[in-house]
Amino acid sequence: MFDAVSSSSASIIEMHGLREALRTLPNFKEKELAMLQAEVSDIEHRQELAMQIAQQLRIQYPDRVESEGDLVASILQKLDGLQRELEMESDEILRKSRVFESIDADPVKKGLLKTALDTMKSGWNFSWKHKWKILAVIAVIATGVAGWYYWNQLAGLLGLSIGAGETGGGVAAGVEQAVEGATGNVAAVEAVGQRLSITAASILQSLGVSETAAHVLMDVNVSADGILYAGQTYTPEAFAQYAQTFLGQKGAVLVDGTVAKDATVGVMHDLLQAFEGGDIAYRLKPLTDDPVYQNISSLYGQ
Amino acid sequence: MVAHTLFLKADERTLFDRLPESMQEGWSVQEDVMDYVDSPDRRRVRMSAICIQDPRLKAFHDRLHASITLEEATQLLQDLDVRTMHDVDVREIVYALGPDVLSAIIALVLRTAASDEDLLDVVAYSTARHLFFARHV
Repeated sequence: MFDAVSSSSASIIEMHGLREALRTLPNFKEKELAMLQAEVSDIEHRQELAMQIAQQLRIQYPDRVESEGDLVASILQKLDGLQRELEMESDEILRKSRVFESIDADPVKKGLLKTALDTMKSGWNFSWKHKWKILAVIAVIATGVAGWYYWNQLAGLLGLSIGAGETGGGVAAGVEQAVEGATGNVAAVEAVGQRLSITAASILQSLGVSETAAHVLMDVNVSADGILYAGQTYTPEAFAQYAQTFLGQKGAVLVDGTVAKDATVGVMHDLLQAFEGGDIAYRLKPLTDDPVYQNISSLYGQ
Repeated sequence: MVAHTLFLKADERTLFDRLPESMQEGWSVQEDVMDYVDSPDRRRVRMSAICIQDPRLKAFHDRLHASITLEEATQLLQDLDVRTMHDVDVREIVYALGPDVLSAIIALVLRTAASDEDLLDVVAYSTARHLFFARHV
């Protein structure tokens, strides 16, 4: 069943990817976002969409989809989440537009902001004395996996807790903290050996199985400390970046199984397959008695 | 003098009041209340909705995704001379940081302030926070 769940997530993620792509277009405005939101929030359309996705998956993976009804329910659940996310994004984007417009329309506010920004820029000489200035700029510009890495450093420097230990996303302050935060319901894959020398392309190629594996990996959110959170989204490129940056360096990958256990198993399955025969050795270390993780262990004879 | 006004929350005001009197001279403080509750989700959305226009920054973004170290990234930043960046890009960056990070920055600088230059930083970051996220009565 986990394959079915993972695959259904993957299809939703394709939509998520579409939205991300749309937003990067220069002329992408609130209207387009609102249209997309309306489409997803349309109940009848959503039901129809879920059924179409389920049918596609059944054709594509006939031996994996056990119950189309369960699959449709799972997809609808994902669409609910997507709708909430779109609503929040819409609110945030509109808020930013309103704030900027109100400043631009008020000469006093505009002048105040201009002075403030000029002061900031003149102070961005990036000496190590003011490391936070460097990190603040880099963290925002980097985005994605690299962004989380620098966010984590910035948060540590500022004594901020931004999502540490939370399931489903955020930046974890450290591997140990994440283990604690996940209340033991965690499996760890220890990557032992040489730093990975695989390029992003070759990782995708080795995964490249099908779009399936890559898409399953897209259903994973990767934090700076090498923690994979199931139930969040990531692009294959971002995952490849993650693997290059952290898998070899940190020597450990944690998979949080508290959010989407079945999907997590799918992710781990693909991860292990991806590195089979590569220049990395791995060891699976279940930190829980949960049978689902024991099952992974037996699968790989660890 | 508006340019020397620090927009501080109550707890930050306490930090300012602890500074030596000689450092407090010449600055005025206006108490600020936030109109925006930050969260990891909102931060993620702000980050994903950031709209950078400077091609140098876009190239920098791409380089950051090529697995470079903090030292390398810092060097790249210096080479970029971000002080020549357009205000539109800078305000995007500062807005994306959000109120919680800006507050943490302000508190950090206030706790370690040793010069007027540090307080100018507080003016700048607190003004941006005030304009972007504070309650405007």
